[in-house]
Amino acid sequence: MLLFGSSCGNSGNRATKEKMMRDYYAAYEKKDWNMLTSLLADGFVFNSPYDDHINLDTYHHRCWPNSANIKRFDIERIVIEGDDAFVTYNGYTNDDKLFRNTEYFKFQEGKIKENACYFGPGISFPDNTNAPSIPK
Amino acid sequence: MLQPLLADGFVFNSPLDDNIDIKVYIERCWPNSANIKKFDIEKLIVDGDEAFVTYNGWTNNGKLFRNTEYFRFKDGKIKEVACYFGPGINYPNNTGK
Repeated sequence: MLLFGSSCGNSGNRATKEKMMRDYYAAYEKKDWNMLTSLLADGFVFNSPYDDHINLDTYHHRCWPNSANIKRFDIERIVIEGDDAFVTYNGYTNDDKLFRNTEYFKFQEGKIKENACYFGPGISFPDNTNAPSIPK
Repeated sequence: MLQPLLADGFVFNSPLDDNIDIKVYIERCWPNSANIKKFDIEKLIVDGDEAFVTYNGWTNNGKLFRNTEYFRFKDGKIKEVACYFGPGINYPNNTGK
């Protein structure tokens, strides 16, 4: 049972975690790798339907180049419980293709230890190459 | 058993389904139940009328489908479910898992 929000599985406060997750996406918008890595714990791992527990080095080579084609993230929902959180966003590429995903974050000692991306509708999902354009 | 949990106007979303109603959901999604052996629920976070669930699902022949689903409640019933695909057989490139 959690009492007044404190428990053994809760590193850092809720507002800080929310800001860190918003900064995680802001780093992609700004193409700022140092900003991104400052948020990550040692031993960071990333998962997606394409990526099975890849480490930071592989993430840097395989995923970070995508930042060049990302215009912005509109974060729709953030739910945090202890050191676990889920974020749903609409992302837009430079040519206004939508990718809507939900991502899981795990925090450890106040930093992001894990990020797992689950694909929603849009260009992340290969069948949806005619994803809707950005709302005007 | 499923239907009493759902609110009037229930909608379902996934990469393959855009705000489908209960009638389309029954026709398109429910037949999948015949091939599902079990769900192991790994994470469940509830925040007011919203929740996220991550599970490992297993088909009758032992294939994995790992997803995260969003639930929205209204008046004590499930108004919306949105399925986001993780690794496994939902994702077309991963037919071998």
